[in-house]
Amino acid sequence: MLRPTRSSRSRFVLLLIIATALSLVTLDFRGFGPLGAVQRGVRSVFEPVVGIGDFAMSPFRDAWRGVTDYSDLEEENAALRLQIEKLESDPLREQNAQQQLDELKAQLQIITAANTEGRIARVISGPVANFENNVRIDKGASSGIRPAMVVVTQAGLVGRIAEVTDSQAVVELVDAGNFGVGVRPASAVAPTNFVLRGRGAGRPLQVQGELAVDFVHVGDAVVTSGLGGSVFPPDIVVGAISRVPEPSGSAGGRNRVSGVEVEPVVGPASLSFVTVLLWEPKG
Amino acid sequence: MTVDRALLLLRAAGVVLVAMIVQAGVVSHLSLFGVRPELTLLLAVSAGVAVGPDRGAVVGFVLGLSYDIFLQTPLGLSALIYALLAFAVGSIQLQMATRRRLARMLLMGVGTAVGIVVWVVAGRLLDAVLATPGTTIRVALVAGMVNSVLGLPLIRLWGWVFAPEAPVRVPG
Repeated sequence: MLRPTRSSRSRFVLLLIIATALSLVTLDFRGFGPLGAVQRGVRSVFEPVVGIGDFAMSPFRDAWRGVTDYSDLEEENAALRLQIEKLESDPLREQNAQQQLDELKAQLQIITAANTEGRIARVISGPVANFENNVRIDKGASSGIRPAMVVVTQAGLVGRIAEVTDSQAVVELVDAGNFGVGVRPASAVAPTNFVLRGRGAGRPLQVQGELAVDFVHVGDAVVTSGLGGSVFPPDIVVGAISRVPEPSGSAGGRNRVSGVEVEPVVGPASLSFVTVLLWEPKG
Repeated sequence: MTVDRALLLLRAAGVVLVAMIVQAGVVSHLSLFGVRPELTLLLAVSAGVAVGPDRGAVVGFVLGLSYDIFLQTPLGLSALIYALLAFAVGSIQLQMATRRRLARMLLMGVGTAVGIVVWVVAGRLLDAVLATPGTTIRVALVAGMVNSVLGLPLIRLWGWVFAPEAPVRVPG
């Protein structure tokens, strides 16, 4: 009888591993429920242990960041000082107008981020791996947080909840690949709604399709449109238009432009605390 | 199961557990030139170099699968890439038939860089990873260089983990 050689056993082990891994990828890709439940369960078990490790290593980590990110911190400091000066110079009447607008919307029972119940959560870590574009927060299902809920700061849209365990949640950031959000220019008089897509960490969002060039100008703020069925409440600031390419053609008597870019207003580096809106779209 | 075998499994599980805690709890806060350390990938590659393609592939699979639990990418993606990578690196190490430090460092550095590129391409095919070629190359180069330096102690670590099993010895 022939005994299996080392190389045939080796090939068998490798094939077994490949088959198992491909089966897992396929099942997960097709949203096989029990697999996700197991994944969340294991992660829940790990979370406290990771938290302890995180806490124990924080002095070394801070020292490392102090060494490697010193120049970045100086630049950030300078940028923040400029921002404070700008904010201090803003007229108080804008605050008053915003307050009046919020009160009016509340009376008309228009759902906005400002009058939606939220949970404040602390950002506990950034992405675990390179190429991921998310942050982890210290509130989870036990605080009423569910997948797809919207995450904001005072400045604007941060992202949405991608995954939840009992005590933590993963927030997919607005510039993550394939992130999509329906928006409109904040100053647009005519109804102009379009969809923004994320293109990966650090890259501006891009408008899908073509727009009439009259409706988009560099520097204009864009806010969530909140159209029926949207997962985002209306009027959350997403960012500002940072690039309007040359018109690519015309339709309906208007010049059209494609590839318009929007710089998100909230960057992951500035995130310490966020608010999760306990709002789920109707229908 | 023999006592030696049980101890081996215990040591291997301990290494994987600690690696996960460090990768998820510590490494996520650190970066060099904007690149996070790829500790789990380094462990998979160094396992291939230290204990050969077969055991390396199994270790790579377990490490990748554990890592996948913390990622947003499909479960099994890292497990597949890490297992194949550890197998390939282990096979090359056997072919090279050398234990020279520089050759091993080079192998682990190149292995890491290739692993990252393959992971991104596979993730892109599954529509789960979106990264520009520039970012991918930068991450692959930086992580490859870091892992080539940090890999040697981990070869010793795997030697300790697999000691009772008489790890595959490379002549020379």
